[in-house]
Amino acid sequence: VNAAHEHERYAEDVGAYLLGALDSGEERGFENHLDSCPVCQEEIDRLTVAVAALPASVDQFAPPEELKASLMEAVRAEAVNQREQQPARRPSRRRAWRGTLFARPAFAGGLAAALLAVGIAVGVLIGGSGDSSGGFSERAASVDAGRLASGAKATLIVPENAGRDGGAMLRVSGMPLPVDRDVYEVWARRGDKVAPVSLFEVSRDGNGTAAIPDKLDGVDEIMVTRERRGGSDVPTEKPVVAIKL
Amino acid sequence: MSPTPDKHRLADEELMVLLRDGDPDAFEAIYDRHGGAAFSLAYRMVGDRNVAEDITQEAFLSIWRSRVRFDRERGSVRAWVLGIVHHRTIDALRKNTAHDRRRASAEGLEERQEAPERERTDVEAARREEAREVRAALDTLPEQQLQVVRLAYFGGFTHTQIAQMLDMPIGTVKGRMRLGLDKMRRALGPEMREAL
Repeated sequence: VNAAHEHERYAEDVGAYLLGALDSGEERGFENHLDSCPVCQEEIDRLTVAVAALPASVDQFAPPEELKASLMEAVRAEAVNQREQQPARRPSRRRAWRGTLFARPAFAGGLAAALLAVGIAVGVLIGGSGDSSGGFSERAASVDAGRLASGAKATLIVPENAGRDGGAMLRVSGMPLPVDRDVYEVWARRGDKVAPVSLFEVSRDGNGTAAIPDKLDGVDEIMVTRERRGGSDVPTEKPVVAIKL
Repeated sequence: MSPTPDKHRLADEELMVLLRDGDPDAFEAIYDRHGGAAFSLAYRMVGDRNVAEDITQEAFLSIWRSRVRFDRERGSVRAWVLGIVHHRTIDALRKNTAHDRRRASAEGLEERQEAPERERTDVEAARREEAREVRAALDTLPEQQLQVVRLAYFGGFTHTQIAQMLDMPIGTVKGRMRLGLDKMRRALGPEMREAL
């Protein structure tokens, strides 16, 4: 009965949601409902094609060449930086970290086994003493509970072989869905330079994980902010989570 | 440096596999393929070339940085790219209250269709054909549905703002949005529905 009542409340929002006509709070509420409503999911799937067609109705213009030039300059510089920060990374391991933390369902076979091993080790560690053991160490984060929630926690989990392979994981719990924002974004601060690392979302019960695929060498602090969908190139607020290294 | 011709021959989904691993050439091929549509959508919404350029650049940078988040199950690469651009443009519009006030009429939308010099290429010819079909589908909508769809999608207005603007109940606005999208979906040909 509750599910039917909730569906009735949100059913008319489908069109407004697809057109981007809900405000951010309404949008978040609708997406929460969508997670558990197959009827609305089906309706979204059915009507998405109409919204996806709308940009094609617009007169087409070529963007200026300078736009592409500056965009590619930034992208190639970031690509070089990312490669330089992970010179000795083994491809299979890199993929394993990414696959886990971005929750893509496609991992299989050996990768899945590697992920399972990581998950078990982390679970034991968090459930146990909290000391470094089993190939992982953890660091508790400073969390701005006033801006998040009183029970919000975050832990940086670093494999002992991080010096060789790089990579770490940020695990959070009790985190609220970002108010007026879409995602949490992880940042690495080196001195006064802050660089984007990855994006993550939390489940409805506030749990989530974020990948930190690069080596932590030279990183002074790992931080988290709340950003719009797709992330930001610079933090748009004071960090809500911070871990000094 | 441009991506190799081979990269330009790859399908979007194949490029995304390379892009996920941080291949800037794959990103450039994606930009070459969809950057024009992205810029055109942003320009149609904000009516200012410089602002549209800024939004397009920010959107593509976020696409590069969030490349691992693309999910083929949730739609095509083109729909994903343009969805991010649309979202970013709405953010820009809603942050700019002065601009919002200037846009506070349905007529204003039509004025923004005036445009800089058009590019004349084969790609644009194909796009024009696609545009013709989508516009024909839009033309099947009753005026009241078309109005709310345009105000929401291209104007960046919320359903509450539209209800105030048109002096009608919010429920009516939401209902017209949904009915309009449903009618448009049915008016699109199967090939177009498949491509999207």
